[in-house]
Amino acid sequence: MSILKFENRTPRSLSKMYEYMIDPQKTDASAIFGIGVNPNNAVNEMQFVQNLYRKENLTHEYLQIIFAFDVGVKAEMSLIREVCERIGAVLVTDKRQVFGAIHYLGKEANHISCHYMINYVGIDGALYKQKYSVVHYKKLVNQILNEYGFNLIHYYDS
Amino acid sequence: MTMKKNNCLNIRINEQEKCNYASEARDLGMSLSEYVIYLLRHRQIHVINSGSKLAEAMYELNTTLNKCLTHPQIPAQTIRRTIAEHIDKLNRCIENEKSGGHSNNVNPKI
Repeated sequence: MSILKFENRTPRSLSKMYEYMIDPQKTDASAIFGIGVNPNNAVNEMQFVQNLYRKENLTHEYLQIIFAFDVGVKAEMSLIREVCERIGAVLVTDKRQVFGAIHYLGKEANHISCHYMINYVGIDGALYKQKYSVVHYKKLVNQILNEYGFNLIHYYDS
Repeated sequence: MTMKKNNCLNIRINEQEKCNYASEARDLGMSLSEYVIYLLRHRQIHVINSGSKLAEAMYELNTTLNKCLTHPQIPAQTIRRTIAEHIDKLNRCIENEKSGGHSNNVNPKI
């Protein structure tokens, strides 16, 4: 079963979170990507947008979302990355920078996951709002997973 | 650690003043509260004209470059490095201004 988790806590700063995400023991250059942002300069570019709109002392500089494939999934990185990029695109409903890092090396090899860091400040200055329920996002992600034949996310839909 | 915002500051102004300040705040993409607090903290605001357009252009350029990464004739990484250098400079200028320093390289109107 795949997992999608919205992480409410952001104990790490933007730059510390980025450092964690690009840990060479977990990922490499082929497994990081950006949506509307240069993956190699994500922190600077996200901070630039925050600075432009003078967003100071943000409670959260970013939103962290984690998507994990089912245990034991093995596939080409190009395919994994394609899926993760498509998932990243459905997680935001407006123009907002998203940095993604796929953890698949070392201890993560048997349980591939993708960490998303989404700028809390959008390109138009709007702060992030979770527009839809988590179930809604899980359904959207399942549509993508279904196309590629990956195990779906289980959820309770009242 | 962010302190809890549990205090109010009430200020009396006339209607025209409120409209003017609200309009200035909107132009800067800020709420009226954010605008006033920012001015109280920093005493001034340097306006980067078309800053929002710059952010939008950076976003769109990154989106386009993602599609060109494997194109043999488009130096996508070189373009990205150039953008990175300039964004870094702008960030340092903005941070310097916020901390009260002065930079001869700041051009408030871009």
